[in-house]
Amino acid sequence: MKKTDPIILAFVGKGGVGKTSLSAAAVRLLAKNNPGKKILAIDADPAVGLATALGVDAGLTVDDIRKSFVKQAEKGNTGTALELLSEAKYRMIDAVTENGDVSFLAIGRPEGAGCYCKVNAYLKEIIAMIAGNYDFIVIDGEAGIEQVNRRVMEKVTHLILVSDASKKGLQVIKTILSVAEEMVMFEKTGTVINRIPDMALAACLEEKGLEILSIIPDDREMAINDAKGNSIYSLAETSALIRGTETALRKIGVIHGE
Amino acid sequence: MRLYDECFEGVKRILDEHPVKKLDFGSAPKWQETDKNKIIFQSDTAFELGGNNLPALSGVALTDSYSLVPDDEVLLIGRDLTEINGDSPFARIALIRVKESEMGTGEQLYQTVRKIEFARYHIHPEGYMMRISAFTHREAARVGRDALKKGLGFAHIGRFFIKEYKKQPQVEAVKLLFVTDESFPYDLLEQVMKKSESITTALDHIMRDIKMDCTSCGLKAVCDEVEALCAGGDNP
Repeated sequence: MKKTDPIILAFVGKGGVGKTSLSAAAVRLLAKNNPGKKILAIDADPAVGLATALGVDAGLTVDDIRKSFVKQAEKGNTGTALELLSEAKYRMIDAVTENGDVSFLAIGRPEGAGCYCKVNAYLKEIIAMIAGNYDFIVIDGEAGIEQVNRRVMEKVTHLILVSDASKKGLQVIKTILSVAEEMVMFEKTGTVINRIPDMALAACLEEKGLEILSIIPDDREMAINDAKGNSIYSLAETSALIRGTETALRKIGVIHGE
Repeated sequence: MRLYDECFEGVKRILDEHPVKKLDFGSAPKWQETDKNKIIFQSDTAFELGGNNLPALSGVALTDSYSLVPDDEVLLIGRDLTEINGDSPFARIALIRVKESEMGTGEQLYQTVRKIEFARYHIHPEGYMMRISAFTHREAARVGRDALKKGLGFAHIGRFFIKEYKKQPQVEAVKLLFVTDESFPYDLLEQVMKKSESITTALDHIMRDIKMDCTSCGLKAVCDEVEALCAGGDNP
């Protein structure tokens, strides 16, 4: 049977609004609701917080691979397209940490000295190649607008905008949405308002013209879990974060049934 | 085509000291090819040839001598895939007879050699995922559990390789050697095959007439040898 294209979810928004926690919760919920399906979690945030949130030891990053390519190029060893693609695939597979049906890949600190567009193009190609092996891909995006990242996000199917209740946070997601509408081929989008200090604010947020998927109160349980350095799997199913993420995933149509 | 003769002799010397099984690749049942991007996940992997930093060698050497490669053959030193229990050292060497008259000269010769070498990038048997690093000269392969249950062996893999090499019109016959024997001297074989790779690289240097200080180049000795063979009347 031919495998269908993966559902690619990306969580984007201003820094500090909880994208990483929501991404981790989404991975946990997708795994629970789709036993046997392969899930790839991509940490596109240079801070590499998703690894901790998922309880994974992040090793080699995509950017480490890029840098090693640059080093080889500096030695005069550029290789042919076939060799470079094969090399990138070889290393990308080493960079993917597998834990049962959930795999993890960190993008790492992007760019830096010397931009090698050819190399970036190969890496983008490789991410596209490995993507086809998964049923779901969850991307924890870098903070801000810079990374509605063309390298990894242009094939996103479900774009989830994350904000807190602040005016700045909401402004950032509106800007991201307008850029994404030009650059990303998403099928569905929606907003999660996270860490809302008072649910009484919810009503006025719904009037701001955003497609709201879920409004999640400030979750003390999650904050304690984070402070202890525990992974998302230690959090109770009844926690506000898990329940709020589930509501969002159901509303955007990636979790079905009971 | 004498360029690689020393490699052939080196491989022969090593093989003479080890029991070699000839696999009947012609009568092995047809094996499915899979998508080139298909990954065999760790959880679906029975073992990795060359996994865990074990040797993972590969190499190609060319000749026009019928006596060195009379016919297509798949040879094995060590255990076949269905007999292997865990990650294993690995080598895959292709000794290829070519039509010298069709190899061309200069840049065309170099490109033909590379095309033959690159056949490995176009082989994707189901349950056998090659992991090729040209930078580190490694060719490892993950072998899937399901494929082993269906009886995947080196005879199947060998047939894929021979078919792919023979897509190049210059290729007349292929002697393909797989090695998984733990006591095999992989380091010796590696030295021999490094020489083969150096010859191809030197061919590129000479044919492109790269302007550089030859006295400080690590390929000087090989280049001298290749040039001497070219000048000696034998086409390289």
